[in-house]
Amino acid sequence: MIVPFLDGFMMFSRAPITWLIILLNAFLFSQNYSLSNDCQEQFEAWYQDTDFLYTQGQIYKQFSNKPEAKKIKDMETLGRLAFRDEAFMSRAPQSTWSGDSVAIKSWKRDISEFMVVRAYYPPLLLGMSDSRKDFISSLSYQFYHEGFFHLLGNMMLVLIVGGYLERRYSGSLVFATYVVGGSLAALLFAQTSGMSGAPLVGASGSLCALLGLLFSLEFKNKTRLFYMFLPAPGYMGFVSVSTIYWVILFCMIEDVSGWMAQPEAFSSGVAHLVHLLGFIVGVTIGFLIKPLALQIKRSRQSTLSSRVA
Amino acid sequence: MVGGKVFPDSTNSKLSGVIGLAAPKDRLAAYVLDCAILLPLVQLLQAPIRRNLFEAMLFEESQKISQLQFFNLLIFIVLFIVYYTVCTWWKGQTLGKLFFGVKVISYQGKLSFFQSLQRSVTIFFEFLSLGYPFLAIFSHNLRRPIHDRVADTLVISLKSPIGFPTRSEKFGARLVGTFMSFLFVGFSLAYIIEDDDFSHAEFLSLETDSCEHYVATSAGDAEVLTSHYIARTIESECLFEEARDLLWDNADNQAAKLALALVHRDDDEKSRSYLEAMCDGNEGEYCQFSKWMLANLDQEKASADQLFNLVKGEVQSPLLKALVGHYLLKEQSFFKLSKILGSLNQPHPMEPAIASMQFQALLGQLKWDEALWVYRAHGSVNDKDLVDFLNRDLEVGVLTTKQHIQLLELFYPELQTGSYGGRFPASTSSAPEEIIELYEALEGEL
Repeated sequence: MIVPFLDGFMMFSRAPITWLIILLNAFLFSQNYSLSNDCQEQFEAWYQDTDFLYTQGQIYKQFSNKPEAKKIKDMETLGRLAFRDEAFMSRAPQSTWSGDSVAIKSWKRDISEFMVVRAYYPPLLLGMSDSRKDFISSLSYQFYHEGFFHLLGNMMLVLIVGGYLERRYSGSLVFATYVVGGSLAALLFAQTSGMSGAPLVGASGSLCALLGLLFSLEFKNKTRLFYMFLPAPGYMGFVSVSTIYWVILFCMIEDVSGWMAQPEAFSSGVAHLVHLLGFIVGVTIGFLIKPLALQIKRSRQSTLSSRVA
Repeated sequence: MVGGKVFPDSTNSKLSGVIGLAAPKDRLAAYVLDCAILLPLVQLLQAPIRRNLFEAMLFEESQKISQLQFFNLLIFIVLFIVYYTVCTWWKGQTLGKLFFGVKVISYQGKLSFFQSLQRSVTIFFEFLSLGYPFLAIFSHNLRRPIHDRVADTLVISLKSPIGFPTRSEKFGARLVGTFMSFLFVGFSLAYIIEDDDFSHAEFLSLETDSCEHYVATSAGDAEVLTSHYIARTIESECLFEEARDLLWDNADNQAAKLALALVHRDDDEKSRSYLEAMCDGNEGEYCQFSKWMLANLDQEKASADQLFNLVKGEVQSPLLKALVGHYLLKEQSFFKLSKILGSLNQPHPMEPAIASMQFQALLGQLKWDEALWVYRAHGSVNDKDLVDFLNRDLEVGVLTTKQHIQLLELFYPELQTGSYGGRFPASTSSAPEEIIELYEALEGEL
């Protein structure tokens, strides 16, 4: 295991803006956790209903113009993929379809119930999707996460990277990069790849923007990583590595390969392209404000040195 | 340095000086770090293939899946071997070994490219053997697994060298090695033995094969498939999946709707829906039949007589006639059943169902010799049909116990014995266990 550690987990007093970002994420998550859980439990019943999925697959086969949809033989798989097609979810229940009329009638009844639950599903309300891809949703999606471990993982990295940048540069820079990076990444993603019915949520795009900022401001410098190869002394600890190497090798290459491995017609559960776009935006911001940022860094360092003296 | 000793080397005298061996933990940690470095690169190179693999899996293109998986694996193997070969040849160290201060040296002086390649390829095969050969690090005096001996190399430590393996290390390696050998032999034997038995998995595959066989021979005809279902040659799951597909291909397929109504007979609402759907824009024989079945579901006690009259006059479909026969059989109207079976013009696609009902109709009419002929002539008629008839008759009480025994003895003469007073040895009887138990129970009643 190798993870970036930088200056570690900072206390609130040393990185207040970063902590505010984390608290905002945690607050939104806690407020919507119960409702999200209830909705997911109800969705699970439909996701497990093979008859429902089969029927949905048959209907989607008639609905979709995608050549890939016609090639898929397993109707249950096609039924699952149909959930991501916003146009299908909104139009299909009102349309007429040929085939097993009993199954179609049953499906229409079930899908109406599904849509009622879906209307209250927090990731769809707060995230970005085909039905919601405006500026407001490009802001709100960055502060909401679908699961506890999704939140925990992202926030730990935000604290490490954001805290490091805030300590050396400024909290405003961190916040601006987080928001602007995440927002631009999602909007660009919506323009290039197109959104699906599956909502885009999470701070990953914003986090990658912070990584991009770190990369551009510190790429020649060495930053700390924590490693553990064996759970024994001497085989775990800290090492300083040039930022350029670990950001590219352990962060960006994975997203590039994930994005390349995604078929065009059907996306996986991870929006790798949003990560990459966020990184690019962060790098751009970093290079644009580099002189100012270095000035701030020097003045902070001299303030700290004079305090110590 | 370990006590200033020169490590003995019986193979080559060029190795001299004071050196220390690399600790197994350092070597393992170096491998882990190398994997951590290689993995993102492997993923990057495999990305286009994974994309195609995902699509091939979605479209169920099995040949393409095999090819792509092979290429995926090939990329990993090639990258692994190239990395280890080049790094070891160039510096004697991979990045992982560099971090942990471990180095590969050659007994022949300078490490050649061929030695490095030999070493890397052998390491790969050692991994394929589940790492078993690596145990030599704890047992060989110079901690040289096969890949080091093949390439004539030695792995030393530049930071924290250690000495020869201790007695406890050697003992531990032998213990683990023996345990792994037993495990391997044990699993192999278990696999071989299980393969010989008629395991549940094989039984399931036979059932699946049976389904596939009858689906193929039915050529998409829902009537034929449903008749196989009635004759119990296919299971409800098989009929359900095929009938569902047929109905989606043709929304007017009445036989498919009927089939779905039958397989859903435990779900009243669904069964009813499919029966009602049989009358959508259609008032033909299937609709008439569905009305009768709906009346039955509503427990209005629509009788088999009503059904018989319906069929006699109007219904042409062989499947519907066969179904009517099935219901007449349940009500034990054997005479009417024989009449229905006689009116079937093309029995062959539904021979299993027809033969089974014909057999039971003859039994019910006490035409046992004719029934015996049908039993012997048709492979689809089996002991299950005989047992079903007897069990049904035992509930209704038409035949006497003595008649039941006579019937069984007619079909299984070996059951008949003058001095029979105990359990008939199963090994000398061709009668199934169920028949023998039934016979014994009936004998007990006499």
